Amino acid sequence: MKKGDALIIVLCAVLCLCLFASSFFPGKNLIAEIYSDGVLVAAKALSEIEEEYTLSVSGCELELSKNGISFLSSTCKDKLCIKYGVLSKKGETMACIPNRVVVSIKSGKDKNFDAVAY
Amino acid sequence: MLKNDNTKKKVILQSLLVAALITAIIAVYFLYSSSKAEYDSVNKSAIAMGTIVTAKTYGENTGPENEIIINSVKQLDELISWRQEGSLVDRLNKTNFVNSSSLADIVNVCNKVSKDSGGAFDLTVGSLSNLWAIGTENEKLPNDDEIANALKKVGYKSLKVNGAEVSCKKGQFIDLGAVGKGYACDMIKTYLEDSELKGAVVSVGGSILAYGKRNKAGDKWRIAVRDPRDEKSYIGTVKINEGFVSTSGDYEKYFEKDGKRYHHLLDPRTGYPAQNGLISVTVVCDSGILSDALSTACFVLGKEKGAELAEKYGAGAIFIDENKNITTVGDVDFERASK
Repeated sequence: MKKGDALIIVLCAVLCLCLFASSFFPGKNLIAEIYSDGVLVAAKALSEIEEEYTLSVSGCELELSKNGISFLSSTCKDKLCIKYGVLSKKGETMACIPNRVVVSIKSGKDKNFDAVAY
Repeated sequence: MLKNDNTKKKVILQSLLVAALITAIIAVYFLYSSSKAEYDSVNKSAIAMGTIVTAKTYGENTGPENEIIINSVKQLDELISWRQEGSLVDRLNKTNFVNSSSLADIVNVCNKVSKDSGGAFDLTVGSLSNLWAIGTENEKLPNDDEIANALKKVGYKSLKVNGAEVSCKKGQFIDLGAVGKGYACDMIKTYLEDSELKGAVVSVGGSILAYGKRNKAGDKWRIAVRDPRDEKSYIGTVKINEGFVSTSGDYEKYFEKDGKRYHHLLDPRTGYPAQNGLISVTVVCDSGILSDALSTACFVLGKEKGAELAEKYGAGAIFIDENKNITTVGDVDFERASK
């Protein structure tokens, strides 16, 4: 077997290993989803956000950036949604229950868990 | 010439071998991929029962089921929430009598847990919950007399079932808050069994139903358990084939006074928040209402007696103490997250 053949075989093996690895370690394809009264009103891939911006949904003002999404202000009394801070990890969900606004960070290939018991 | 022919043959043979190797590796990869293939899924979140409800369904053409699941939780809330004017529980609290087979079923299961836990779990704890009002703008540290008065109205033995008839003592206040979410999960499972879905994972405010299969390989569902002292982290993951997972913790609703934490998991026997070193209990079992009731009862009972109760029901349990030491009981596949 020539050196060239061995090189091809090694390259193929590396290619296949990469394919396997990609199925175990999905990229950071995080999407912020915003629901108002159960209806999905906005979804934004965090990686596509170049400059942070705000969004008003049912009495809540939300701030979106590359780093995540947070409640900036809300007309609710307890302000728990604001106190929570920035949602940035897969599976994180926060709601402003009085205003019926839910924010979730999701990924199409979430390999960590399916739900959270709390 | 002969040498050239031999060299050509050798090159062709080696090329064929390389091609065969590449084909074999790619074939193995695609076989592996198809065996792990995910079903199509639809994920939807909404607010119902005063909390976040998330339904993720797996199968072909899913979507309408998510709407049905979330709407069914809203409808159930209208039936069993004491806050809903005219609900079954509102009527029971106001008239001390209701005729409802659904409510009778709930009370029967809960009263059994009350009896088996020696009163550590009790649906009639409402007068105490209202007194402490933890998690509301009226929350306060009551004095001993107020607690003694509220305790007079607590006692599951006065909450009686006769067929479909449910009755309680005058002045008692029934609150299904501890088990309503788990009961909703039970109802959703009944619906899913008649659907065409391959699988679903539903969270009703942190009470979880894992149903069917999450992918074609039939991998276990992975349910993360919240870190009791960091709402943005998970302390570990429970893996289950199917079933229900519920967690009760001292972090859900609480206030602090003079450096002491007063949480919403009240001990119906003392009138005060349970203080036994536990900060979180997660229960895994085959019934939603039981997993909810047992997680509360086990938290109030403490680790040793809680473990005995979980074992009596064939449930798995994960106890986390204030130093974040974790003890698992029963058949539960729990993996602590790496720090």
